[in-house]
Amino acid sequence: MTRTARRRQTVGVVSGEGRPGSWGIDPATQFPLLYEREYESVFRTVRAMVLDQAEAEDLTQEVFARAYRARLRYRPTAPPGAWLHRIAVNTALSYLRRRKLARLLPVRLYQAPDDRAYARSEARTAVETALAALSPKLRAAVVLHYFHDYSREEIATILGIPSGTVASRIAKAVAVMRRVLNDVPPGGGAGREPNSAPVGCEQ
Amino acid sequence: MKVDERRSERDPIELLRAEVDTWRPQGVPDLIRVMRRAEGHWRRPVALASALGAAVLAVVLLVSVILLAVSPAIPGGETIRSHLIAP
Repeated sequence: MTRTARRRQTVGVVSGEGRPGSWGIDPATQFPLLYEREYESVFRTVRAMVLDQAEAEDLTQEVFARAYRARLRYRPTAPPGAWLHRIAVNTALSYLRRRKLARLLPVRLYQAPDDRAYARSEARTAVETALAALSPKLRAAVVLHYFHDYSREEIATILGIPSGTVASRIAKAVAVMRRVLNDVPPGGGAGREPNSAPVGCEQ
Repeated sequence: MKVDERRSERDPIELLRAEVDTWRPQGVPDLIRVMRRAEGHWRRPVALASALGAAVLAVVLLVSVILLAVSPAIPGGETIRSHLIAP
């Protein structure tokens, strides 16, 4: 799928003029249409952040459940796609925070999935290994920019941070991914033992 | 001849695009199911608060029973007992 085609499938831009996408869809009255058009796009953002297919599927449903509850509060200052991605990023970050907290519990009532165990999995790809080396916020910025083709300003709106911070996050993420991808043998990420925390945890 | 090292590196952006493009949900769930989930969102916190309240009440009752049982053995126990049991 070309970038232009993907762009058409996913979102418009903030200005929105002349570009197809979810711009113009009113979540309050056309929620089923928005759901149909944006489900895969939101799933990919969540999947890139949590790096787990099953969790991403569940969280994507949670994103749309939250969006459905908030549909009457939507204001058309940004395309509905960007609005959904904001909810998706916040939902994924909340989930990852809960998971981190669950790992700190002295009594493990809940056995949280472990990032390190995930990174050791033979099924992971080189790209997933590279993404695992980033913090969730860096993952969000890099996927929104390079896959969904959002501009820095749009990502700044989605993430609620200055566009300069977005630029620095993207640059940092690409540098780390480049380094990790060159360390990982072609065809997969197996063999790399992650011995450090993901980059960008402080942000 | 000098080899362009940048070309021999794997481009992370192209790899990312190709990889993310292959990610697809196993299926798009029925919107009705998502709407039900949205409408039932209040149940979990209410159930949690209810369970927490019940647990606190159980602890208070248990402590009261223990105090009644051991009241003769502790200093001032009779005063506590008289507060716990209405005349």
